[in-house]
Amino acid sequence: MFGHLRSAARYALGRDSSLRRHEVWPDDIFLVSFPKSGNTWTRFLLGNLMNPDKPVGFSDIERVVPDIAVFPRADFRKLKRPRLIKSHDCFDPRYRRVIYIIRDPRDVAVSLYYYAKKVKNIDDSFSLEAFVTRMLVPGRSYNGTWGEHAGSWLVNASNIAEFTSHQNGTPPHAAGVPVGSPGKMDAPGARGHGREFLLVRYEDFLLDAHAGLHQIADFLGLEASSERIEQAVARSSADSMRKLESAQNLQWQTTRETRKDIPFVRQAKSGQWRTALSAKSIAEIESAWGHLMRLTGYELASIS
Amino acid sequence: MMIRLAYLANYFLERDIAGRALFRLPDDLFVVAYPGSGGQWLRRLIANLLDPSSPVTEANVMSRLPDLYHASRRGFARMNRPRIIFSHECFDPEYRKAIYLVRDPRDVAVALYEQRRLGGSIETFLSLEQFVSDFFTTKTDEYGGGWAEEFSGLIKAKQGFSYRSRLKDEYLGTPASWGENVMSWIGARGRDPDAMLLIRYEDLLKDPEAELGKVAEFLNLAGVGLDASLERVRSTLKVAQGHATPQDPGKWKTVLPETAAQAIESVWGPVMTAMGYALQVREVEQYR
Repeated sequence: MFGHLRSAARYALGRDSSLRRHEVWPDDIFLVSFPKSGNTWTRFLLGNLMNPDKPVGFSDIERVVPDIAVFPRADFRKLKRPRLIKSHDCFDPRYRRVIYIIRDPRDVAVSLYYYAKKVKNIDDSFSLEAFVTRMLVPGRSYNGTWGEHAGSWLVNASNIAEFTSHQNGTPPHAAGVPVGSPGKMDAPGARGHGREFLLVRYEDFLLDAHAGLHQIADFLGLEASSERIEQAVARSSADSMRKLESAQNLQWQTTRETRKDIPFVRQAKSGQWRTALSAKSIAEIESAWGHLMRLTGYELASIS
Repeated sequence: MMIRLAYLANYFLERDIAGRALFRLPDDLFVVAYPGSGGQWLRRLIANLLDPSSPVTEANVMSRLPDLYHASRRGFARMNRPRIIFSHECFDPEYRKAIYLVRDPRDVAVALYEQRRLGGSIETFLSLEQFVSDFFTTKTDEYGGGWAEEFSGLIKAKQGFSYRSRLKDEYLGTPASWGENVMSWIGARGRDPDAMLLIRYEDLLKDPEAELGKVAEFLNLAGVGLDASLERVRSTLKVAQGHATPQDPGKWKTVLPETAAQAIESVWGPVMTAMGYALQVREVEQYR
């Protein structure tokens, strides 16, 4: 009863989280990704780029680039337009302007495993192999599986055959053959109906954050000088984010009640799966999501 | 102020329409179809198979297999589990198991046009061709341009305003465009037959026994006892009435202007091909 009253009160005051109740405005810009795909880093980069006067920290990131699952619903109305909003939601047709960040699902698996421990979803005895098997199962999470998430956003009229072939028996392309070139990703789907859609690979971003941020700034129509981009990249470096995390982790809702012995900002690198994942886990991920990995340029290690 | 209070009382009593706010339970099962795709027919076929003791009627279909857009949150909370729920939504990761019904978009356009004209939600002077070019193939914000308005209008007329959520109408539902709806499901679940059973309307009409057999197998695996014996299926086929009566596939060939068919094929040609619908016009070059 008390919980019921509390939720009604929160709802009445608009203090509940936005999520599907979010009132989307046509100029809202969504920073979308599956969890553990570099979204927080991108939030910092953009937050720092747009607010050059003072470095962004974990204590104020929620106001600068609010999370649709954290920021109170009513407060969204008070933000300056266009609003830049972080979201881990699967395809939502109401989102008109989307920056989609994708990351190698094998690295996502490793990162998510440590995160699940940090937020106490699993305990230390839970094995990475069992975790990988579990993350392939649909319906366990509000955010879907990695394959559902990326598939719902990246499918379009020119690549849809890649998503259906399985049901007819034989996949049209052998493993390891890249079928996705950027040109194949342009038809309707999440980019149709006049939407603005930018696909960013976390790995490309890691290689050259300056170029990546420049691309996003162009997409957003932000005037950004090289110096400003340089400053944003420096202020959002893994080192500086680690320092901010240790100083402010109690001020950020996402980390407040989590284990402090596992950091939120971890390695900020790619390719860790090569040493962290077993051959079995790699094969499981690639057999479930190989079609999407080929489409987005992640080379498969196992030939099934 | 009074209205806000009424909304709040509604929310507290959970008498607001569930819509996208439905609290999903892990064993929920969903029947999903884009509007105009024969979903109401499939829904009644399944609802009839669910309870052999009495045939499905317009009155009991809401309790056997309710839809997101008319039942209140409280109604859903009181259902027996596992619940089977009807929805028009795009892909939703919390629909752990879903039966997705797809239909030739050229026939969907005709069916939607006729439904909406009957329902009065499109102007009578709007031609089928205009409907296809100005709405069906171009509008993704169905929720802003007819869908939710139609539903909340309906709710307003039949049940009084207090049933409405005080939230924006778009929250009620977002089926988006045919292509977006189909693609979002195929993109997410096209390779996962355990999580999504894909049924084509045309196959269901041609061989209902076989297709309902698949539905029964899918639901049985998920813990719903469904008797899909031939005898039961045959008696079931007679129950559909009114707007749930199936239409013969290919009606578009006689009523849809060629330019409209072309417009649909030029936007979603490859999606149609992937779903097994032969194109009238040769596949548009831009996709090759």
